Amino acid sequence: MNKAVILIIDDEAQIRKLLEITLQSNDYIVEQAATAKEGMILASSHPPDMIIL
Amino acid sequence: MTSLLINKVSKPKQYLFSILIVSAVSAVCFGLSAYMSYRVVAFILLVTVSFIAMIFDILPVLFTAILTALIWDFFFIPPVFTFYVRSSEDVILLLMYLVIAMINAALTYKIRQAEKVARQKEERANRVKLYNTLLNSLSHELRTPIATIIGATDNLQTNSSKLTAQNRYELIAEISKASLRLNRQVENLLNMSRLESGFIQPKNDWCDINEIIYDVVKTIEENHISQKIHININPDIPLYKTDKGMLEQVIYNLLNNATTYTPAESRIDIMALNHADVLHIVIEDNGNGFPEDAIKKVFDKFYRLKDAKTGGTGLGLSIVKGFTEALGGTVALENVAPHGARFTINIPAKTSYLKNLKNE
Repeated sequence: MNKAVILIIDDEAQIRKLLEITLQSNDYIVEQAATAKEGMILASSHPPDMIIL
Repeated sequence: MTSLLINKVSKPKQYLFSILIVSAVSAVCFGLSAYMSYRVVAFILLVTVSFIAMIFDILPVLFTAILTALIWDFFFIPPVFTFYVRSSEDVILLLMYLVIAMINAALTYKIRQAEKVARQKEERANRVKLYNTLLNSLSHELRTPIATIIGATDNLQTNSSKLTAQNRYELIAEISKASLRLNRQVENLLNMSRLESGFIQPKNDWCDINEIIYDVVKTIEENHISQKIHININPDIPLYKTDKGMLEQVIYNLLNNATTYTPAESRIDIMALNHADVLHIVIEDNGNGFPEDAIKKVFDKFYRLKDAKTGGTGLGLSIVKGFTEALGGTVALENVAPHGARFTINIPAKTSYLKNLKNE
């Protein structure tokens, strides 16, 4: 089964860390961005299956 | 502009100026009475009353209205130099003059009241907007660590089988950091309330400045800051009888600001010495400094610089000022060359050197 890619965009590091641990432990691939700009760059280069803002 | 004059000139002065203006205008008209009919003078005096109605308060204006009516009657309406009015047409003119002058006064007064109400509404709307923005930022500051704690504990309880040991370690570290962050915000809010309520009573006891500064710096450094803090405490510094908690909070807030808002790798210096029984502390950095027009306002409650990144509530410096002043001291901010900021604190207090302390 293909692992789905989820992109997290949030300016708080603690929130990103929490989501990363939760999602990775449930077999999702996690990308992170701290700003909208970073997020858009990541989303266009590695299109995710879902984005959490 | 007109509203400023009402506020700045005292009532007696308003009456005085009105009399002077009216006298001057009347004198000129009288001097020119060969060239203009007395009825024209009435209009000139009415314009004078209107002008005075724009700049002064209602009672001086009404006084001016009556005064000009009397002047017009006595000096201009035939027979001149008496209050008697020969022609009945002129009696009507005189009465109409009074009515117009009074209406003028009343209308300008109403306009000014309406302007005042509009201005108060705008001020109130601005204040409400400010409080809302900052309440939002405050609630974000509290909710983020709470969300972290809930998320992390939920993970550990229900997701535990899927977590690695490393995950568990990280989650616990996040809970710990979030709890401390929450504690600090609540501390800030409580301090702010104490200051606002006015019930701030320092609990003075002998304080070791070395201990206080080193402890605060250690707490700050535990947050993995990128800046370097240099401590320079004069070895002859005595003990001070002051409130340890409040002093710690002041130093903590200033150092926390320095580490939060200066660029990575900046240098932060904290220096303390005694000068004539005054505790003198300087906290200085080589960061970006403050815009000149902000320096006066930084100690205001909720004030934040325009491009400040999210995560602050604007309470830190107002607490610094509130506490410092509650301890009888002062705090000042200035920019330093080539770039950076310097906070200077002076707190007068009783001093003692350890060997003199008996059974306190």
